[in-house]
Amino acid sequence: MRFYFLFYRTAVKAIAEYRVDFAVGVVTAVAMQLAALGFYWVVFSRAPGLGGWKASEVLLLFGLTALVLGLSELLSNGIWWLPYYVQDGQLDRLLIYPVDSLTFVLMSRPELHALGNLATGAVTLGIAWSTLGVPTWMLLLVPLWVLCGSVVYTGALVVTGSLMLRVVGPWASHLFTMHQLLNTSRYPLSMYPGWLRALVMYVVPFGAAIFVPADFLRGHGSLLGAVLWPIAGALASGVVAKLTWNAALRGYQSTGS
Amino acid sequence: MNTAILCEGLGKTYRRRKRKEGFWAGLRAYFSFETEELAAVSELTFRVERGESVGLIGENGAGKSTTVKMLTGILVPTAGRVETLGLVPHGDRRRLSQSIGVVFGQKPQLLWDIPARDSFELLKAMYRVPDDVYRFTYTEAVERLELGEFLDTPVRLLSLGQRMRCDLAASLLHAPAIAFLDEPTIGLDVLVKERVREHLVEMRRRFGTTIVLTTHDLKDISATCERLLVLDRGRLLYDGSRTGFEERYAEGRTLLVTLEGPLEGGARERLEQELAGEELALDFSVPRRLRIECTHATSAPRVTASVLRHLAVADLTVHGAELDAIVTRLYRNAKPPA
Amino acid sequence: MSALPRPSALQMLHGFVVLAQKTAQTKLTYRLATLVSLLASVTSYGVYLLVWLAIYRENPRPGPLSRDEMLAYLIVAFLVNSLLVMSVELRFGQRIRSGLVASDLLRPIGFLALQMGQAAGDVLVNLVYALPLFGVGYWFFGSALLPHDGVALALAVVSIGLGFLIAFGLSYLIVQASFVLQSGYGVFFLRASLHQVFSGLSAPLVMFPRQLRAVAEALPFHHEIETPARIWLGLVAWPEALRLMAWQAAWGVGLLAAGELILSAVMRRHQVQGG
Repeated sequence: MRFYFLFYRTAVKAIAEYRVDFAVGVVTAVAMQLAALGFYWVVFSRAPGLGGWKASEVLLLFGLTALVLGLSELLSNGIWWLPYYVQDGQLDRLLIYPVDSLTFVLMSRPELHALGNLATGAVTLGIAWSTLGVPTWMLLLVPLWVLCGSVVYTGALVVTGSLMLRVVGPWASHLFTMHQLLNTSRYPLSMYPGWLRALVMYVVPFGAAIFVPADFLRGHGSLLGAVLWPIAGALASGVVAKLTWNAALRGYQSTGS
Repeated sequence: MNTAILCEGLGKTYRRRKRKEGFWAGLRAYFSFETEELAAVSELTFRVERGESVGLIGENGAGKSTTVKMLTGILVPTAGRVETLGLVPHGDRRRLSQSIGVVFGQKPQLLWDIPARDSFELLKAMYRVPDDVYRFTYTEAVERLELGEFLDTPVRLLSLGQRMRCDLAASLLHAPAIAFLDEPTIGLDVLVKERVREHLVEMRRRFGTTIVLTTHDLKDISATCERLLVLDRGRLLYDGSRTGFEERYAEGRTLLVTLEGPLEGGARERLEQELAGEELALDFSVPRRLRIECTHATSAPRVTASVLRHLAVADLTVHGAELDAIVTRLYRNAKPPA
Repeated sequence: MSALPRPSALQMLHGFVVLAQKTAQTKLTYRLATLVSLLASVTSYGVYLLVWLAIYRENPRPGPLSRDEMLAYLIVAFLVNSLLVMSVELRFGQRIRSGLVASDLLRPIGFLALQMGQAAGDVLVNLVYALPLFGVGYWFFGSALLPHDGVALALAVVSIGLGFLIAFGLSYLIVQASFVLQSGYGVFFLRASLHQVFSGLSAPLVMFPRQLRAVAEALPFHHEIETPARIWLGLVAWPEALRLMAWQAAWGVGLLAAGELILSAVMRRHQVQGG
């Protein structure tokens, strides 16, 4: 445990070496979120709502999604570096360390521009919150939701990265597919066709961790559901991710360098 | 339990997708799933006792790295059995990793953006190195490898030699039972190489560390290893002591004679006459020097006696062939298996 | 003065073509990677498409384009976009990390041509995927996706070529930034996000709110995607198309010139990482 703490601290220190990159990263993260909000602007200038959700309600989804993305980038961003680790043989190195390899990889590369995403997420969520007049005490649940959402998202990335450990070459393009899929949770599930709704509720359960809580905040569904769905989604993703990772490492070891 | 490494019939075959040259062939290969098999290592059988130091040599592609990777648990063998410190490496990888140290000369392990000192502390926590062990290994490394000056410089700003030295120190901080060193001196200058060898010898003396060293620089081997494993195209060509190897494969010796003064008239002819029956070559091309190349069959005592009888000798030395020369000849002569 | 022979224009062109071919070939060996990155863009695109379908459900007449025109536009824009997705920054980032970039700067073909040749290779590979995709689109949407007429087709092809210049020019600028920064990823994503909004990938500019539209029109991004897509679909008459293409050419040349200027400044300051 002490090791992981020390390791994370060192990794942050390493990134913080590059102050210009850090600043550019934060600005970029905010710009990307603003860009997405730009499309919201286009959308709500053409229609009063989407799939039965008002603009401010959709903003809840947006805020939660940004927070989930930010937390995952802050704590477990290393998965994006996996293709490089495989490519230049750093994964070999990992296998000779007496630590949990998945935790090690995930913590190895914190992305400090996450702070930009977290800030934008917090601000938009705050705006939506006050516009809709959601009770303040429910803020207590936000950390749980964001944590569960991050586990689901990171889990999805780990599964994708593990399944394609050796076949993708040096680019992390396969992870972008998951990243794009996360973006589906910026809009209400109700506007999607059935198969997509099922996909993001049960297979890659972004919906369980983001849509269900947001739906609860706008006065639909039960408190119990808003607590249990995210936890169930996170547990399932975490377990599947760990199992796939282990299988992938076994495969890696037998295919050679 | 004194066995450090045990291999029986160990083998590794890679399966690769076939690649084609050219754009159109590449496009066609795109739709094919043809693969080909490549045997990197086969039928490797040997045993290393604890405390031994073994040099693993062979040409590029002989299977050295593949072997080290199987011994450390990075690769799963496709044939045979392997045990390191009584554990199956790929099965008990994490437990084994606590007791081994690995240097990949080509792939530095230190974090690029932070100083080596931070990496060392991280490794201390990672391996839970006891304070007294750490105090020794750390101090020894810093002093022997002269790391002091650049311990606080981010690793990316270090020269290759400095980085390599830090890397070696890092791999041995936890005083592993076995150190696997895959080309630890690659690209280093002579002085630094010397330091690296000294450090290895010292770690061995203090902790009885078993050493498995692969290298292309045979001086590394001469300085640190008593035993030699020679791989050729994935097969074990030789397993035994380094000196035994030199005796077995050295094809001859060289006698170097320094004379007291210029050659007396007729002395050369008398010597040549007396040694006419021996397999040797006399070389008088350097004044006041005589170089005699002997083969395996030459009787060195007889030759020496004759030399002393006919010439005024100031000095006489006998040289076996250098490890370097032997290995070069061996590689050149080794035939691919039928 | 120099006794060294300079490569002739023909030799340069040949080098360029070989480079493009080799890049394409390398990329083809990573077949799954390319398929999957295609999946990524289909996914992100799917979201836009579904959002627009939802908008038309809420408001059947949200702007000047009908629902079918909008769908056709989005699909053509998607195809143009997937043609122009290149790995300029990613490839370069790798070269920087591995320290190989120093040798890139010394190639006789020149750094710009080297990068552009590889980018052209990317487009070659994209064609392999875009053509079947177009087939699928045609299967579903029929002739709505076809160019308006022969003139529109010819103009659109040229316009896509000019779009390539702009897309590459922007990436080339990012590459210059990566010389100075640890990783160009930050600015790369910045470009990518601006591209998302302002290229007209998610909606043609006529559907934008007035202020946003003014910003978009002042930036080069819409000339990558929106301009070729509108010309293809015959949404602009040919004199207007020619005017737009002149703008495209101006942006393309301007961006490349800016990239070259920055490169020479960076080289003078000797701040090349890994060099």
